[in-house]
Amino acid sequence: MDYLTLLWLVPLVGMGVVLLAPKSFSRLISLVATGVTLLLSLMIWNAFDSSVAGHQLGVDVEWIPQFNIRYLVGVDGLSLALILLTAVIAIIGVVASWNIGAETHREGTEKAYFAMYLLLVSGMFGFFVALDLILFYLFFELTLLPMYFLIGVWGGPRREYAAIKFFLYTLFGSVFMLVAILALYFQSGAAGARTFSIPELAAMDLPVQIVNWLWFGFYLGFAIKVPVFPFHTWLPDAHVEAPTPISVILAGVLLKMGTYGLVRVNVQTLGNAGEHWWTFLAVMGVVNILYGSFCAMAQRDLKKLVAYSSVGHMGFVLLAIAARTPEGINGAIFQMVSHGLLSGMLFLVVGVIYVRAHHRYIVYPEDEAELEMYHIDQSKAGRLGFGGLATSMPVYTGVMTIAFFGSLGLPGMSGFIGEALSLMGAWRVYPTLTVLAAVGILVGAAYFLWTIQRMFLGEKNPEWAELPDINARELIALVPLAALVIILGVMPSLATDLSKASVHGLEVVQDMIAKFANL
Amino acid sequence: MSPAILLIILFAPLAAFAVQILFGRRLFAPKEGEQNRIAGAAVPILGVLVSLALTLIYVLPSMFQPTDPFTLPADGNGAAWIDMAGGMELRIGLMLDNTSRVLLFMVTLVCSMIHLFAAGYMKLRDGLPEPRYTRFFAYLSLFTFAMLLLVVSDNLLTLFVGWELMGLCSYLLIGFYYEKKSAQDASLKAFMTTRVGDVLLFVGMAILWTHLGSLRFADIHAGMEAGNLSGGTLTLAGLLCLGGAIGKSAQFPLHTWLPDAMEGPTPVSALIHAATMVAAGVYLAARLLQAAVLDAAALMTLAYVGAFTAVFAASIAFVQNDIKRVLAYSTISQLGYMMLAVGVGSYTAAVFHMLTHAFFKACLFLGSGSVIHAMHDGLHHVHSHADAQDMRNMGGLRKKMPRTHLTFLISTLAIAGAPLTAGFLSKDAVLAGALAYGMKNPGHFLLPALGFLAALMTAFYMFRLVFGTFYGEFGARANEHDRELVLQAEPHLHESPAIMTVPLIVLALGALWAFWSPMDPMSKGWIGETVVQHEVWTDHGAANVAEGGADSHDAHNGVYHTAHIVTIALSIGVAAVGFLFALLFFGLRVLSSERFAQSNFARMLERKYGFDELYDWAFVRNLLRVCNASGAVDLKIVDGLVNGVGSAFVSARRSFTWLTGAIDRLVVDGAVNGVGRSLRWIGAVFRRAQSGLIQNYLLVIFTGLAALIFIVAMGLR
Repeated sequence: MDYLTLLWLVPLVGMGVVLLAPKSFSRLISLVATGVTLLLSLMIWNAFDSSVAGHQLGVDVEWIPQFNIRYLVGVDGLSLALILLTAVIAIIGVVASWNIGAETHREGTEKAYFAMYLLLVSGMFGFFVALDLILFYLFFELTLLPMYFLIGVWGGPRREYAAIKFFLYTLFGSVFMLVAILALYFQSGAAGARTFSIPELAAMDLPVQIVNWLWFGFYLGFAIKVPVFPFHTWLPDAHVEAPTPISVILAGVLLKMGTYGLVRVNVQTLGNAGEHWWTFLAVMGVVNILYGSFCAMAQRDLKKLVAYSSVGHMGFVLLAIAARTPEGINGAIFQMVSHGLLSGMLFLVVGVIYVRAHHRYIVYPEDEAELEMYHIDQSKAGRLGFGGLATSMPVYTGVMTIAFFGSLGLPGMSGFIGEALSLMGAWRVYPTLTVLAAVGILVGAAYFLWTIQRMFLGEKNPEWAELPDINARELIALVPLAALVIILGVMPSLATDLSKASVHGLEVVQDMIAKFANL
Repeated sequence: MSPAILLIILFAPLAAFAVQILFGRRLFAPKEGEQNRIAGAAVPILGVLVSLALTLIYVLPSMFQPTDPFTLPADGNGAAWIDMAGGMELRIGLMLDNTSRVLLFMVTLVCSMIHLFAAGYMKLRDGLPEPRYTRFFAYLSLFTFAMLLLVVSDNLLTLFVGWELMGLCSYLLIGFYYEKKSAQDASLKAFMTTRVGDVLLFVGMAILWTHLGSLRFADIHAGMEAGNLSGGTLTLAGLLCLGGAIGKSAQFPLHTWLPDAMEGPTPVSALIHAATMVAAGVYLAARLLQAAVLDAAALMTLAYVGAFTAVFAASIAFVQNDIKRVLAYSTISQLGYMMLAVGVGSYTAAVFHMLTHAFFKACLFLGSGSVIHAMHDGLHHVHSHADAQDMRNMGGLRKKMPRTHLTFLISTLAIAGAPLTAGFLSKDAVLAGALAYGMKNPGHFLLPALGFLAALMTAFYMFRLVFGTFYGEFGARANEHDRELVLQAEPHLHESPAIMTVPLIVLALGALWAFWSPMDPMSKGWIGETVVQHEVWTDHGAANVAEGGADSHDAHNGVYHTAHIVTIALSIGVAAVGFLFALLFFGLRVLSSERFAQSNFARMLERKYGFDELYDWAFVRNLLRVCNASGAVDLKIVDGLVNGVGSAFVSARRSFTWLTGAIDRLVVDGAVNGVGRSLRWIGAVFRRAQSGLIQNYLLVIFTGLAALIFIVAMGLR
């Protein structure tokens, strides 16, 4: 069987095995399954010819011939980096889930947890390899179900609210996407044969008026997933309630499904949409950056802060996509990978302190109204605030420093390359917006440094003086991410070489190159 | 010189950092109750000494005469760092031209001295072994690497990498004593303020990249020659890039972070906040001048910013009593000089002053460290809580600390611009350039005037510092509350150990005239011969500054030659006046500064013209206000809307259960109903989720999947 089918099939089979095997084996089976997918993705990387613009290693067979629905999978420069990212995040998520039963106080549910987990992994891989819109949509929806359960069953106190909000919100968006897919299908009939195949649709010249409507339909579907302001409020809730590994997956891969969708459909297939839509997208990107950063700064819950920082960082991806320049699209893909690694690190970092202290307030709520708002026992007020963690947990502090400074865009780490390429690519198209986005970088630095100051510096609180430093299992999850963040920061070509040919081959990118050739 | 040598020079400190941060604590940290040993600093010291030794052997010989640049890769075109297909590439490479060579020499030497000094200085904190001794040196190593990377980069991109890594190290080191709130605040302020400049620089780089397609200095210069960027966009690009330089070099209006940065350990102040990192802003400005990115308007702006900052910072230094703060303001002022030099097109003078300043300012800072070290010990002995950095608690230290005194005095003479010092030569070059510029453009006479005024002020406040610290009687001016204990501390004062005084002596030697200009004072000296603006590229950049960079040593060079002669006389004159006033007020104390100290002007100076408060209000508070408002809006309005819609939906569904039921039964086609169905189905699944029957969930999911495919199929029919 081909690599790409195995990629989503292996986790699915893994899920079956998990269900059949005794539950004490669940995590081991999951580790093996995600390990195999990591290996598979590396083999795909090895077999991938980065000089080819179109998709490769593909499979194209009839599935529902009545409607010309095909099982069409393939990998190109737009998706390969994200497949590799998914493989890395998936296995790290398993490591982070190792004691999930105990950590979420749901001992004995490991079997169900890992079954859901593998189903989620399968959906993510499937989404990134699918090139037929129906397949694409199915995998998009497939990730929803396990995510709903993973948050709703293994989450925090308000898990039910968060899970249903996540589910309904995404479902709401995907309805528009489904309508747009169908409309695109019927429209393609006018321009040739009716098809759901993205490569075929991309090659067609569809009327601009139609494309404009479709563009917005797909945008709604993806915007909720990214999430783009004002559809973002499910994200902080989902993150706050989700267990650590699920937050890692959510921020690390699931959000990228939205931006990848924008690249795959809105840029590749609907690239000739009117200029106003792209400007709209760029504006939304900048709104995300600024609004997300401002909100992040106002948060008291560290996990919520990180969630809002994701909103901000995904804004760079949106701005870069809107620019449609080679730097922009390459930068957007790079930023997706980089943010996947860094947000994974950030949520793991949050998890480490939460497991030890059972809270994660940057500043512990003190007055009565706040205590009530955060549902905190009166007796604990004022005693449990952090501070001075750098002294009691030096190794943890070191890892945190890498994650935070990587996220605030320190050169030498991947976050800088992502932001740099995005802004360099956006400047020539949207100079004013680019400057505003750059202001967002400043706010980003402010909230991360302020958080460090309030949690890690200062005299240590005697209450937390004896906190054990980060342990080996947590380091196993964090160190590979940190290493990748630094490697990509020093050798960005490892990622950009994968995407460059496909990006260069995009019609809309060619148009932009021609437009700016004489500048 | 082989490429390997350059790579070892560059990466030895990085390797030392990696070893130190990963294993330093495990291998070298003292056991409970033991003292810190120099071994704890051995790896970083070794790293920087390797760089220094290789620089002395391989780089020094080619430093004294014009030599072709050494590039890596050898063809001088750099290598692709990021390839975006279609010929679009971000290329990077390393380059050693003579400017880089002298800076390499300066950085490795000063860093080595400061590593050694710190090995002694950092052993104790408040009388106990420093708990983060090994980590301190890891940071120093990383810093050294970053500075070297900046110096040998042939492009703005890797320069920016080094630039920001230095910012990180600066943040970590200013906040090294992070238990103290003041140190935390200072580190945050330093990082954020310089980052404002960095963002401007970054946008400037984006403009250069967009129009020139490369960030390598050589390509930028070639693109400028070809006229690919001009007019308002060029001015904008130049000013934005200079924004970075202004932030890093703490020039007005981004100057407020540097005095606060003195919260860091003194060796850090010497290394990062005086000798090297802050000079990087000047280096960037000089490189931009060389690459012709700065047009006349940008240069004019820079010249005024520099000249104004030189006087502005010097005036604040008048009233400071913390010896490190005096030096901090003096650093800002001197950096202003260098910016002035770049602004008037005197590339060589700017680089020259940067070099000599590194030596005497590092020496001054380490000298102050030596004094603080002694004061700390002395005050600790008598359990006094008096401020070990306040010069009013000092006085007469020359007898107790002769070596520190002598080196401090030499460096003070150098910074004041006394003849036979390195500072005289370089300050002279800066002022001559400014004066020639003023003579050519009489409308800008203010530039040289401010330059000479700053020279006068420098001599005054520096000798105020010297007299207050090393002359007079010990503790005579301590406040009444502390005086008794401070006076008791006098017998416990002592000269610092050799590991601290030897670096002082080496740096003081660099502050003397002999090394820089072994020939007659009117000659250019080797530095003027080798570090010239146009050594690599043709003369295009100079056109922007109207011959401003011309050689003032050439007797046939009309106005420049005249300016040079006048400057020599005038600069000695103003320095002498400044010294004289300091002598009368603070040495002999025949004049009293009491009345001035009571004046409103002095109070304004003590408040540093109120910029800290202004920025705190304008940026910090308002940013917090915006953020808190955003947070509230998000919670109440944006999310409130979502929840409102959600609950409306739910109540509507409850009221019309019969309707949904009917719809479910009667109509099954179309995506709209899919949503309705899913809603009900979710509710059902959700109730089961509580029951804990996992198998049920899975059943539901597979059914759901099937249903989904069914819905899709129905939709198509």
